[in-house]
Amino acid sequence: MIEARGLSKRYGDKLAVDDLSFTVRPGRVTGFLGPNGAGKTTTMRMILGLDRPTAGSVTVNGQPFAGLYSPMREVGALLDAKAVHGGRSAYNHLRCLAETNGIPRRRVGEVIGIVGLEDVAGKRSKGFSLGMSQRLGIAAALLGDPDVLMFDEPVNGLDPEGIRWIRLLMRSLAAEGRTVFVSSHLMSEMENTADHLIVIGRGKLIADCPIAEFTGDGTAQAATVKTPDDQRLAAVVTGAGGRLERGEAGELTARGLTAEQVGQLALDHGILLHYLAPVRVSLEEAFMELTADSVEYQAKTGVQK
Amino acid sequence: MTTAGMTVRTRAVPATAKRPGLPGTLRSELTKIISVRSTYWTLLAFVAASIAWAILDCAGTKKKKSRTE
Repeated sequence: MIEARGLSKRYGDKLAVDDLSFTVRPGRVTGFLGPNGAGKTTTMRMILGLDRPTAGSVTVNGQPFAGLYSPMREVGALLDAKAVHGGRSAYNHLRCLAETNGIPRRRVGEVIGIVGLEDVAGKRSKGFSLGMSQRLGIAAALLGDPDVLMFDEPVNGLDPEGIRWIRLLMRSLAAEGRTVFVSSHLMSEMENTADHLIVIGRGKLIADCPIAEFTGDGTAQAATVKTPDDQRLAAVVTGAGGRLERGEAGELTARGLTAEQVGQLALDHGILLHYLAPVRVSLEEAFMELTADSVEYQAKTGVQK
Repeated sequence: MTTAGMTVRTRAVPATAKRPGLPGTLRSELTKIISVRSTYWTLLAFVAASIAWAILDCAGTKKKKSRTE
């Protein structure tokens, strides 16, 4: 359990985190979303006591991080996968960390097994790919078998197989009753991983809700259709209060009606349909809509006239 | 805070009520020192440098001695 109350952080005249209050609960994966520069990493650093909040407070398992007796046994975190001495082997890197928290050495071998680095554990981490470094960072987070886990952009640099692996890992960690807090700017990734979302933009809380609520009702008032008889379908759809639009790629979208209604209409009027699917508001679109005016470094799209 | 209704997980590493403290930190620092190659290169360089210094010193003493004779 992570609890932030009125958390703020100011760098000079720039407010990086602005009065954030949220609770990350155990037993589920909580996604922490926001565009680049929204304050995600700063917030995570404050949770770990690496940055002092300008105002407000944050506790982990009811205590500020600095007050924890054996921090690695309570909180595991991956902030920067490359923060490793390149000349030290993966095994020895983990051993150093384990010794500071009195974690038995056998646990080092266990976590290496969990992340699948057995073959390179004795090699110097200088030659590791980003994906291997991420796995090493995750191994370090799991070292103390903690109840709270935090990952900052864990899928960066991973191949599809690695992404799938980390998704399953996070889900299983949450299923064991742990608190899993994962930041990302990739909405599509969260869609498949998180149960709950905390969205921030320019340091402010934008949304704190279950993922289903964020994407809206999956039954949006739109459906994609394919039919050889689009003239008649257009007439029928218009007659039922909707409208049929042709998109840029030539696909047809019935707006103002659900997929069920369109299917029923087609059946009633004997119109052949080759394809019918509800248009789901993707997490990506919902996110873009929400954070449109809170993106810090926005690229101008299109040519200015 | 309540964890009711949640199955208690068996911990691979049990939580402690005691800080590992200074001994743990020192052991970790020792591991850090002995687990990188540069430590051994530095020691080797130190030994080589002191031998080289001794040779130069001896050579200098010998020269000085032969001049006074």
